[in-house]
Amino acid sequence: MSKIKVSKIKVIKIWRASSLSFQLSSLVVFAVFLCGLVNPLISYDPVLDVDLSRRDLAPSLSFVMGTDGQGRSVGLRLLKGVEAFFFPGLIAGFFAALIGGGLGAICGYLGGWVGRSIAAILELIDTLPRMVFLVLICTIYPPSILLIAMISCLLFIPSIATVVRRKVESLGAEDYILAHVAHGFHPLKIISYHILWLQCRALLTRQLIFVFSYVLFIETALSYLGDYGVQEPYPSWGNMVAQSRISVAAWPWAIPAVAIIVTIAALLAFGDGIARRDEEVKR
Amino acid sequence: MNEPLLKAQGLVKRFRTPSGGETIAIDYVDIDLYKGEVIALIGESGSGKTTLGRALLRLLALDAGEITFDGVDLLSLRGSQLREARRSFQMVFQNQQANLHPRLSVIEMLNESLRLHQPLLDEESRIQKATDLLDRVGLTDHHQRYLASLSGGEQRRVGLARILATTPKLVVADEPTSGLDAAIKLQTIDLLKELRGDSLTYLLISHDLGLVRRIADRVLVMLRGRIIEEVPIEGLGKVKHHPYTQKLLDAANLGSSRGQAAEVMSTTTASIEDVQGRGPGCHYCELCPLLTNDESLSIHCTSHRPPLENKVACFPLSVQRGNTL
Ligand code: SF4
Repeated sequence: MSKIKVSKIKVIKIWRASSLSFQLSSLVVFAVFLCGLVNPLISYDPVLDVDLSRRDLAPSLSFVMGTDGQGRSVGLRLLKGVEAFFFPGLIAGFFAALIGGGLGAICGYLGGWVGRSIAAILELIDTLPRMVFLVLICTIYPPSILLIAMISCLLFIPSIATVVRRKVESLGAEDYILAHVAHGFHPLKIISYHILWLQCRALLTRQLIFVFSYVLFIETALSYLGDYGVQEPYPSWGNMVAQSRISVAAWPWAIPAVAIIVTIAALLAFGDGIARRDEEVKR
Repeated sequence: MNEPLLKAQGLVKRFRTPSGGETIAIDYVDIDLYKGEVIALIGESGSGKTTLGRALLRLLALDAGEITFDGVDLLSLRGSQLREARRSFQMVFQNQQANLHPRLSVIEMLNESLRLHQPLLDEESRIQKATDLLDRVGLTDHHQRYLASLSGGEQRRVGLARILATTPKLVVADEPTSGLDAAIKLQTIDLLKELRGDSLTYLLISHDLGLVRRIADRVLVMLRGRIIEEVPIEGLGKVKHHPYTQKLLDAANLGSSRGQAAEVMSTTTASIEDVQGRGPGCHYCELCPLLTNDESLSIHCTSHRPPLENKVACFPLSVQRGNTL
């Protein structure tokens, strides 16, 4: 009971001390997460939603964000569209951070030529142009959001590993690690707890958020470039913009476009905010 | 003082230089540490003393040699055996922040060490124990503090408390007072002395002769990876020393009268490191004042490496000491 109280006070304290941009972005991120989490509970049939008698309706009380060229509710599709990137993005981000962080920490821990050669291979993979690679994969395999998420995850592992390795090296790595070995800690504990958790957790959270926003971004881009993203009639923010760009009304594409921009900006700002907060020294 | 606590023989460690060559950091060193004694290892930076200290605790792989610690062959231990053995030998790092965390409070750090080394304690008795340890090192009111709000001396104390959370028989302290100002240095020395109460063996790696004089029982002098002289503390400055030891002592005396011991030491360092390449002879032959007027000795010294005989690695001095004994 008292623990909950303490953490509540802490949250309020942190909130007051944060900058406005961090506050705003965390509100947006929170809203998106909430949408993502409740999404599986909402049933939506994209085919039944079609009603050509109510095409391109302006926002009103019954359709808060209007309807699109096929008479479907833009608001509902926007909400349901979160599902398209939410779980794939989270999973991609999580595994990219986990695997990338682990690899980076191991490289830094081992050092020597083993560490250096793994690092070199990773850096080589990292030079692949991500976007081109993704388009390529999507033209070869039937496009799906899961595929996009998986490839994004793989593509980000090297860069995350590199960031973590640099961090480990900057720790004055040799002595930091050696001191823990000398004290008698298990190498796995040193890698997972002392390096990744104590020293890299903010950095990894930020990377996770970055990958998450990248999945959203790339789904949009692929939908727009050609039908590589989520397939109609299922909604994603990307294909909502792509499908209705020829529509007469502005809201069917403007609303999801704004949602995409705001969400990505908020995610990035939120990630930065977390990283910055973590850099502050604890006294 | 019969069986040594730690006995090391024929230790060799080579390092690859970036240019592809090899340097020898530890050059066939034998060392015995007895229970309850404080041994000071002195020498300028680059002499291999830190490397030797780490090698003794199995923190780096040796190229040759044997180490017996408390009757156990240290080099044969693997994995969990080695980690458990580490409870009885600990190291104070020169970089005092190396094993402290900016994100853990003092009490959390100690708790972590206790969980590792005294796994049978429950949470409550761990906190109790941690509190005791902090009292012992004089940090009674610092439980919830973080690294950034501690002074250099206080950080050292947390490090020492962490070491006491293990059950050490041997502590290797690498420059335990570097970076501390004079007053805190004295406090730390007193603390080190006090902790010695429980028959701890110290290997003190330092170039601070003031510190060495205060607490050491025996002094080992290292030059370019070899131990070139061994003196009991009572003898320091009184016997006829190896010319290199003498130079260190002179430099320190000169420095302390001006209050700049460290500076003079580092000048000595520079002049020695300038001389490159190691021939087959004495490591000190290029700079040795004893050679200037003795042709035949000079030839002998530049072609043979003097062994540590009669506690000094110098041909004429070994013989002299042998005669007086
Ligand atoms: S062995 Fe020879 S060169 Fe070396 S210190 Fe003694 S006299 Fe000098």
